[in-house]
Order: sequence, then C-alpha cells, then structure tokens
Amino acid sequence: MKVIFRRTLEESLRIPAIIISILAGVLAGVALGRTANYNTIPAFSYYMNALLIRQHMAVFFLINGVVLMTMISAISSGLIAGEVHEGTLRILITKPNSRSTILVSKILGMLTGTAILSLLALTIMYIIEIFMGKLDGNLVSGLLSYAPAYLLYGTIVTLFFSSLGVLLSCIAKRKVVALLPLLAIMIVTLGLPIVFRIVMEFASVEMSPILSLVDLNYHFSSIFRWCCDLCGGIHGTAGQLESLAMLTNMFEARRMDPDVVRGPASAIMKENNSLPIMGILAVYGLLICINYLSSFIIIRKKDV
Amino acid sequence: MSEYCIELKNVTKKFGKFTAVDDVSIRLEPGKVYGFVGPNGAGKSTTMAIIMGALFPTKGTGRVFNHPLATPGALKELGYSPEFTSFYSDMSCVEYLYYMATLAGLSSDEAIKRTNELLDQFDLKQHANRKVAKFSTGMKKKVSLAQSMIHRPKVLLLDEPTANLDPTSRQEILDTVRKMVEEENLTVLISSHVLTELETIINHVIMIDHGHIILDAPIHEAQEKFKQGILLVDTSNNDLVLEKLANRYEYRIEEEDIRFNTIEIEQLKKDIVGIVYNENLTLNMLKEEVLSLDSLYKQIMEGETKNEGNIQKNA
Repeated sequence: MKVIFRRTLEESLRIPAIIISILAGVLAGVALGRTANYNTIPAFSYYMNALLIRQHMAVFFLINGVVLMTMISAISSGLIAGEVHEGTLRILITKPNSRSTILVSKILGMLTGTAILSLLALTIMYIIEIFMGKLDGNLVSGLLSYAPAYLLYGTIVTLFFSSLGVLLSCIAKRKVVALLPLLAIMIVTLGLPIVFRIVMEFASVEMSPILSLVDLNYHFSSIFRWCCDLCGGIHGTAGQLESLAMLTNMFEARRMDPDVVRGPASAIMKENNSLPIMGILAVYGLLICINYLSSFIIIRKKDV
Repeated sequence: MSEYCIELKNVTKKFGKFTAVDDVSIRLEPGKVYGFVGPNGAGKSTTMAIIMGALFPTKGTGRVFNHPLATPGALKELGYSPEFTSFYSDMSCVEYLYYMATLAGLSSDEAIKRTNELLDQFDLKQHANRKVAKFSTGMKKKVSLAQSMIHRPKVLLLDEPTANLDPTSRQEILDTVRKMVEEENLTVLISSHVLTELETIINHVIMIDHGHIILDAPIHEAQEKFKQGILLVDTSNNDLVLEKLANRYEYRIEEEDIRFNTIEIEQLKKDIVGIVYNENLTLNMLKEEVLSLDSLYKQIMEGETKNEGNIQKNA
C-alpha cells in the first residue's frame, strides 16, 4: 500500500529527526576526527585499533545506540497508538484495505525511514572523521570496512525495538504509553547495567554469570561484537579493550598465569562468552517474530 | 444474492459489562434513506462503527452486499463520516482528500480528478490549500462528508452530520446530502438529533434505545401506526360545528381552528362533511395532522420510559 508507506516514511523523516541524525553524525565524527589527529604513531595496527575501538563505541552508544533507539522508539510507538489517540485511525481503517496491509505498509515506511536516518548519521560521521582526522587510505579503508557490521547491528536493533514499539503501539491507546517502556529498555541497555558494573568493579564484588541472562547491555554488545566479527573482529591491546569492556561487557579481564607473566596485575582481555551468541541471536530473533506476529493478531481484532 | 445492501443479524456489542448494542438486527434496502434516531448512548454510533468494521461485534454477524463486515469488499461499498472526524494536522484540504482517495484505491490521476470534483461539489475550492485542522466545524463536516464519498460508495453512513452546527450550516449539509442521494442513488443511514430536519430527507426510520431497536419501519407507516387521530377543522361557522359535535368528540380551539382528537377519525370526517353539507357552510380546512418525526420520537420514547417504569414496578 504505497500511499501509507509514503506517508509513514515522510513522518519518519521529519525535520527534527533529520537534525538529530545529522547532529549525532557530526558529534561522533568530530569526536573521532579530533582524537585521530595524532602526532606520534607507535605502530599502524596499534593506531588502527585505537581508532576502531573509539569508532565502535561511538556507533554502539551514539549512532546505533541512543539516537537510533530513541528515534525508532518514538516512531514505532506512534505508528498505531498515535493515530488512535488523534482519532485518524478510524477513517483510515474504514477505507477498503485490510488492517494487515495498513500495518505492513506502516512498518515498511518506518523501517525505511529509520534506515535512511541511520545511514545519514553514519555517513556524516565517516566523512567528518576521515577529513578532520586527515587519515590516509589504509586507515580509511580499515575504518570503512566495519560499515556493514554497523549497518547489520543497526538493522537488528531497529527490528527489535520497532517490533516491540509496534506491539505496544497496537495495544496502547496513547503514544506515550507505548513509548515509555521502550525508553526504559533503552536505559537498561545503555545506562543502568554500566553504572551497576562500574560500582561493583570498584567494590570488588564478583558478578554472577547468571546476571548475563538479564543484562540487556551484554546482549546487545555481544550482538554488536558478532557483527564486527563478520567484518574482521575487534582487536586491540588489553588497555584499548578495557574501556570497551567496562562499558559494554563484551570483553572480560582474565588474569594470566603469574608463572608466565611476572607481576600480580597482569591480565588479558578475553571475549565474554557467558551466553552463546547464537543463543542470544535466536532469542532476539524469536522475540522480533513474536512481537510482529502479535501486533498483526491484535490489530486485526482491535476495536478502534 | 441478498436483496439488502446491509444486513445485521443479532449483533451484540459489549464493552466490559456495559452492553452498548443488544441483539440488533437491521436490514437496509438499496436506494433508501434511513434515519437512525435515539437518545445519547443508545447505540447508534456503535452500530455504525460495527457496520464500518471499526468495532467488532461481541456476538452476531453482518454482511454488506454479501461481503462479511470489515472486509475490503464490504468497505469498498461503504462511505463513512463519523460524528467527530479527526484530521491530520499537517494536511491541507486538497492533500487530505487526495490521501483519502489513494487510500481508497484510486490511481493518482483518478484521485486528483475525484478530489477536484468533490472540492467543487462541496464548495471547498477556495479553501483547498488551507489546513483542514484549522477549518470551522461546518467546513470540517463538509470535508468529512467529501472523504466519505471519495470512492463513490453505494452506501453512506453519516453519524450526526449536523451536530454542533449553526442552522445555516445544518441546512447546507442536509441539502448536500439530499443532492448526493438524488444524483448518485445512494443508500444512506443517517443519525441525527435534529429530527425536524432529518424527516425532510429520510424515508425509513430506525429507532434505537438502550441498544435495542424499538422501531424499524418506513416513515409513513410509523406515522400511521402512531398517529393519534388529530383533525384540524375550520369552517365558516365553527361554533355551529362544535354545537353538534362537542358532546361526541374531544376538542380544543387553536388559533380559531378546531383541533379534534379522536380515534374515530374516519367517522369524524363524515360527520363534519355532513354538517357542512346540511348547514350549507364553507369548509376552509379539513386537515389530518401528520405526526412529525419529533412527535413520533417523543411518543415512542415516552412509551419506552413508561414501559420501563411498569417493568420496574412489576419487578
């Protein structure tokens, strides 16, 4: 249903959303470009990894994180609930189209819109990073080689948050009711577990691996790491990976054998595989399917 | 193939414990204008929303030109103007109608053509590029009516099309509906509280109260059934007429006319004609009062209330 697709796409690409995407791209690009302008380069791979880890963090937290999650939450939560609240859905569903067709068109319009916004932010980030950092060809191709990973991760985030947003939007009668749980999930994904982890780290409390089951930050960061693995993986020294580990839980410190390395504090950063990545992907894939399927079932029988 | 364009069978709609529509069965024949009347909360809008597929019945079924309710086949035949139409705040009148036309399955060219036709028909051309959300209530009603007609449906469902309008706008809307009905041979189900206006366009009345249909009949049949036998008489010598009939019939004087009230209306007519003939009087007026929809409504609703009172007393 082209007309609903186009309308939803237009609504997704409103000026504030475009401005936020541009700002996110500029912010990430400037942050990466400024730090990229080194005078002393110890080694190519060291420099490359340092740049990449910063870039991964910018994408994970900002572009495919706060910005994408907020935008997809805002758009998907209003997809049906917004029209119910404003009273426009009643006219929409009394035109000769099936409700499923209407929902499919809206979902496709929303996904296309967020894909465009995400691509816009990513492109701007790359352009500013490359030109501001005055990076040479090898570095540029190294940084760009992770673009497919970012897009894939963005797609997974979009599908998960949008499926939940659409489901809540089909249930709720007001957009805000559908939006709040999504924002809560975003905070749980990108904020609270990190704070909790840092506090526990300082208190020297050992975290139980069972917490991985409910640690959304760990789930999403593991998916992000898996996407990056498809494009060459995330590498770096223990120091480079440490900050990433603290913020994402995708790596963990493993103490080395003191007989091999002298000194008590020697540790290496290892991938945190508390949960199998395929298991995480399967569960989230299943949730996405259930959410979308439930949305269609609900909308077909919803009193408007 | 059903001869009815809309058929509801034993439809019930409950919202939690509240029953909005209770075992309603109605049939709408093509080409007729149905007035759907009843007090607030009687179930008119709910019934219309069920026909339009916006609400699903708790029990019962229905068909629109043999298509089950809420299917694209049924919706293609229906045009709907709700009591409160909401518009997209960012759309102008022309954009809104074009959007509705394309939603209804018209191609881009057809949508442009139909939008222009309706802008002309509803006298909205000069406001075409203004935001609909900022229109006056009367103009919004017009746009709502126009969108209901956009795909040339065979049946129109108009929920309170004249509500909250000034008399001029009400007349304008009703004239437009009348014109549409005549030109396009539509079947219309129209609900309204302004019964005096409604009776000028309908030829069938459906009354609903507390979710029950309490009257479903052609308007003239309903008037015949519920008329109270009121005859207005004016002759050259009303005093003489009264002298001869006052002891047999109930009457009162109304602006120098005699207003008889009797169930033996045919006998009264014969008696008056007899007096006029025998006494060589001039008969200025002999008119049987037609029951207005408003009076009909009051009579039936009062009857309902009395019945309810009796039921409560008996209980």
